[in-house]
Amino acid sequence: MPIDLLLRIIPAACGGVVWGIFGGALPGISPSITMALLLPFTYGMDSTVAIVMLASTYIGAEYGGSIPAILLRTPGTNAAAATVADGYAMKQQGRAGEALGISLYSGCVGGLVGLAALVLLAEPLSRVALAFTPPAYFAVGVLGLSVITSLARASLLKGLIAGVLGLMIATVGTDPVTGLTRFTFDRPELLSGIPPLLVMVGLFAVSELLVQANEPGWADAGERPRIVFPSRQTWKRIALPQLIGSVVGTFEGLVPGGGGSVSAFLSYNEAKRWSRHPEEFGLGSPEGVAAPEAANNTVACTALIPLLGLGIPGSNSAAVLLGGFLMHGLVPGPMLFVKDPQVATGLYVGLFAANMAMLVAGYLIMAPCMWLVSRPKPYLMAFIYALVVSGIFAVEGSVFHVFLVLAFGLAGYLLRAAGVPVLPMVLGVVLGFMVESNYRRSLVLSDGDYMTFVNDRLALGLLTVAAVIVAGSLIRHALTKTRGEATA
Amino acid sequence: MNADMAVGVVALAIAATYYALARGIPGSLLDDVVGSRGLPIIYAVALAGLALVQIARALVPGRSGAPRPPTSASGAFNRNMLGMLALGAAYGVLLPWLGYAVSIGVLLAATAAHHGAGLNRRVVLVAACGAAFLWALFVWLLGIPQPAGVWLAF
Repeated sequence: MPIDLLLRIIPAACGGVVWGIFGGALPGISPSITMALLLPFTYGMDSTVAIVMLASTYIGAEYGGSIPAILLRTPGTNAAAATVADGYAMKQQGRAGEALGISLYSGCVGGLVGLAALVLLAEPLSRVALAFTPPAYFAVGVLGLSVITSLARASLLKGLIAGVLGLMIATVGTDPVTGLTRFTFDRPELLSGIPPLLVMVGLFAVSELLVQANEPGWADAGERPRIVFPSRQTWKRIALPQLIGSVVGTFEGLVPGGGGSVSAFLSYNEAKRWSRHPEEFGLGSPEGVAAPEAANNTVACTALIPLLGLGIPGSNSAAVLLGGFLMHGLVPGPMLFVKDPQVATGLYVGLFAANMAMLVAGYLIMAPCMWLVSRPKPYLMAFIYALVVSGIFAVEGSVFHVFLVLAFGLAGYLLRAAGVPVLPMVLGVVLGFMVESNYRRSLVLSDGDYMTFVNDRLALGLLTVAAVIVAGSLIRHALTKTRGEATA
Repeated sequence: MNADMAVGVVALAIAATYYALARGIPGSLLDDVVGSRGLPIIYAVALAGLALVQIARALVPGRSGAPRPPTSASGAFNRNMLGMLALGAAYGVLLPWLGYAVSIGVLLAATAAHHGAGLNRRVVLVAACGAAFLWALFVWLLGIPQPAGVWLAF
């Protein structure tokens, strides 16, 4: 690679990461929006430099999403939703700096593992992704939903109710097969459905603001949290969750539509299953931060495999990156490696630089975040509220969606009051469309033969794994209840 | 009615309403074997089933439901929470009329005051600076259009 190109790639990677962290940290601004906002600015750049900058933005935004998730209980991105539970719990325990450090380093580890997968396994693994059929996609969705049984910590029944409510919300909008509108009440804003981000911001951020309205001022509001990077003991504890997150993220990234959200929740679930302290999950476990953060940063790299190998964007962010390729006259796909190999090589180098830059940029940007969280509560609450409503308007450009978020905020407040977990609802919303559209496409393609889900080996395997997860969770719930009753 | 019973009753009501709405989805010539209303009806039935189990569990004597951590949200509505919602709703109503910069400034000042900062010079100053910062971030830096307000037309 020419030195002059290298010297332009590295600053582009750093700039992209910084832009991505700021964008991802803003509630309501997703990685794809952050990238889309940058897209016009890359028009005049060298094609390789532009692609590197856009891809680095994706990496930075995936990490950036964890900052408000930990500090404000507001996932900056969909994928950071799984980080909220333990990240925010750690913050409440005065361990915000530790949680941010774990998130940063886990994201870096995940990003490097994802990059290794991208470089080493791009072609063979993209062949696996090519083999996915609608039944297999449906099975992936079911596998994601099976996590609900583990997410419902206190009450499995309430968790299932929340999950079904999420699936119901996902049916709002245009039918994926017939194009009919459902549950839109003649509102044009609902034609494309209710974006998961709105549900998440309402259930997490606005409901927290409503809860905080009832709370007295924070006792430690004047205390400035100190940045704590993982100690040796913490590293030992988070090594396995990081590995789990990286492995889950690698495979989820290969599956178009799987995305960072599914991988974050799946890895959270697996980390809990394999943990020596599963009872700490949801209450401030470092493992609960490490696994999803490693997973979603892995996905930021592995999601590029179907894009580079096949030209198929597996996520919104990958679609924006595809736009960047096309804008610069590049066609991603198998021919990219033949016709423009320097772009692929430059991208690999740039992604490595981006992951390294994230450590530095993440550290520098943490300080203002720490300053922010230590402000007096009335001003911080006011600023968060303003940021939330501004971000929501920015996403959809509609006041209707601001009201929708407030409604979900009220719903989240009431659900919390009744002891109903909200994470299963989020999962239902995120996966609902994927499950329904692929379920119905599978039946259309098989002329209504339900055996298509059994005959497809990939689908059968994934559904079997989902069944094992559900069965395992049910047994665990039953055992926990039996032990509880015996203790009582 | 305890919280567990309330969850069951509300879920049952949602299931019934959703079922009625799902039944009202018209058929289409493009309908597949499942149809547009297929999965919604399944979801409604599933939710109704879960709600009935929840209600049955809540009715069992001596069962107080799964323990949950105490939260200030328990006890449901109160003035502070409703005040926050009202401020958000007022922002949504004012935004097209007053424009982003003024509306967000008003929201900042009102929310801070509502949280106990009072309505003094410092709050007004913080709100003005906050509004300027947010306007610069979204409109100027990120290039996201926000309503300018109708009053600018006069």
